Amino acid sequence: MLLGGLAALTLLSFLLALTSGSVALEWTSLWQGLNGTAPEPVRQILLLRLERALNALACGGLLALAGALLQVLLRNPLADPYVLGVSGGASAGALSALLLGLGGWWAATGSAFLGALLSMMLVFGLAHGRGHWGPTRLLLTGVVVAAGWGALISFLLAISPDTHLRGMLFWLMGDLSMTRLSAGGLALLGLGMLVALPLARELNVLVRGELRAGALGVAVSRLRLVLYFAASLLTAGAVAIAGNIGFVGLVVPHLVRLLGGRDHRVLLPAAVLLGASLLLVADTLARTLLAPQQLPVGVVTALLGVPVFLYLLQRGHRAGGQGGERP
Amino acid sequence: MTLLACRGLTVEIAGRRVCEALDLQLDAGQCWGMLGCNGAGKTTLLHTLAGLRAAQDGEILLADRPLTAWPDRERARHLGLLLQDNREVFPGTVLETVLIGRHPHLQRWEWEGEADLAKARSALAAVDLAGFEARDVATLSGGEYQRLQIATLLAQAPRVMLLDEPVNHLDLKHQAAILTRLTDMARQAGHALLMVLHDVNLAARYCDHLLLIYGNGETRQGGRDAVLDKPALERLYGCALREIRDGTQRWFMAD
Repeated sequence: MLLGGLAALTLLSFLLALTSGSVALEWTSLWQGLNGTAPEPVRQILLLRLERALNALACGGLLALAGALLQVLLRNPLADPYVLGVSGGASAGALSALLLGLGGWWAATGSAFLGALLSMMLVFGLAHGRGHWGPTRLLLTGVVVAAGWGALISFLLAISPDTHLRGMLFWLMGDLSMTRLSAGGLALLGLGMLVALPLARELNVLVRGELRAGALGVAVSRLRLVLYFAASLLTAGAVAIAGNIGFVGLVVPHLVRLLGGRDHRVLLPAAVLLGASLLLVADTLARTLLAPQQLPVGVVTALLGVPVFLYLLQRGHRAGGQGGERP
Repeated sequence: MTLLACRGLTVEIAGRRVCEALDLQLDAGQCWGMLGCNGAGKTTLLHTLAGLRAAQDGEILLADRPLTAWPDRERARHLGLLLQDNREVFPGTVLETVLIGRHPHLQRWEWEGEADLAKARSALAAVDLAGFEARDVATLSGGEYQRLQIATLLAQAPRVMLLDEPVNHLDLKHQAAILTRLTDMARQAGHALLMVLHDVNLAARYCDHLLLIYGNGETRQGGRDAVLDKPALERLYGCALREIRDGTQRWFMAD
């Protein structure tokens, strides 16, 4: 039921993203676009919006899934896709490309992805170092590496000429206006689901403690390796496509839990759908609220998500702690 | 029939020897108690026997087959462990938590069915938690949570149960009820128990065999009456004890 509702929500958000904008389209034009009878300008607009909407959908899903996996891996409700420094590495990579004037979206995206991979291997190497890598050690390593990237990013911003700064800041805040490559994001999301869904019941066990999971027949070390690399790659994909879109990865899994989806067999697909919807709506608002000016979508996700999350948290408390006590 | 055995087992933690060349054999229907001071390595030994950490030397046999040769989930259907300390970080209901005990019995894509739900409910009833199914685990008291953990182990239904301080946080009524339930079940069904206990008198009452861990690698084991004497316990705990006799029953307390 939860999944059905969220699937409908995702579809609605998707259609909303296609029809609204500086040129509002009627539903009939959407239909004409589908069956190929739309006039050329409408077709162009639809194509542009379709690409952007697919990117929003992919990024939202990627971030939400990565967040859900990392919360299990670190057994920490405060974990989000950025906590282990993957996005820091991506940002440093992308900003270096922008600073060096390697224009073009591909250069920034490629460098971001490489930076993310570098950070992922660095954190894993340092945390895994002598064979034992508990959640605390991994978290501390990730946080410290992320802080290092943060310093490097500030340095890059400080030495950048003014002409580059606006683009860099938008990238850092998360922005879907310059993106392409929708197929890559969607493929990565599909791959992520293929890896994560068969593990979902094991995640239900692992989230209740590593020793307990081991005693219940979960191959804990192998599962944690898979989780780490899957979550890092998903994050790398999302950050490479759209920069740092905050809030989605942290809050969407909790929203799903508050809506009653605590079983990871439901939580994972539900988080993907809700993350996709949230980012679709946020991006639609980002390009319509102050049109023709565009807002960074990361700003809107936070503005939308904070009140919704706080409302659900309050409701959970009043309902007598049915899951709302300790999100 | 021997359900769990170890041969020549040497276990160390942080450079300290817990046991040296330990031979131990848990037969069907036996209830073992493990006694020792804080830090003697009881939990470490229990985790080693459960296959969660590697031993320095020796081998562990589950149903005559090396523990390491068992596939993970199959092993978990035969061998279960109650952990000493575990708290939930994420929200969940009591029923959801007890159902994870069914994990090793389910195939990858299989969902918990009616039979699993029935086992989970009867496990909850067995620890006096019937009616708690929809409660958030975060709202449970320490004793209720401990009973939930025991119920999860009952739902897992292994033939060998390793229990780390099963009566932690439990009130007197539930201490007796749970230990009676666990030991009766083991003796009737031909299962085996090994539990770490801090209360010598509970061990004397519910266990038929005892394993003493001295903390320097030395161990002592045997039938309850052979092992349980005042000098041995005084040396084990490093303090003077008083022994009180009540018919055939003996009671020990720190002097």
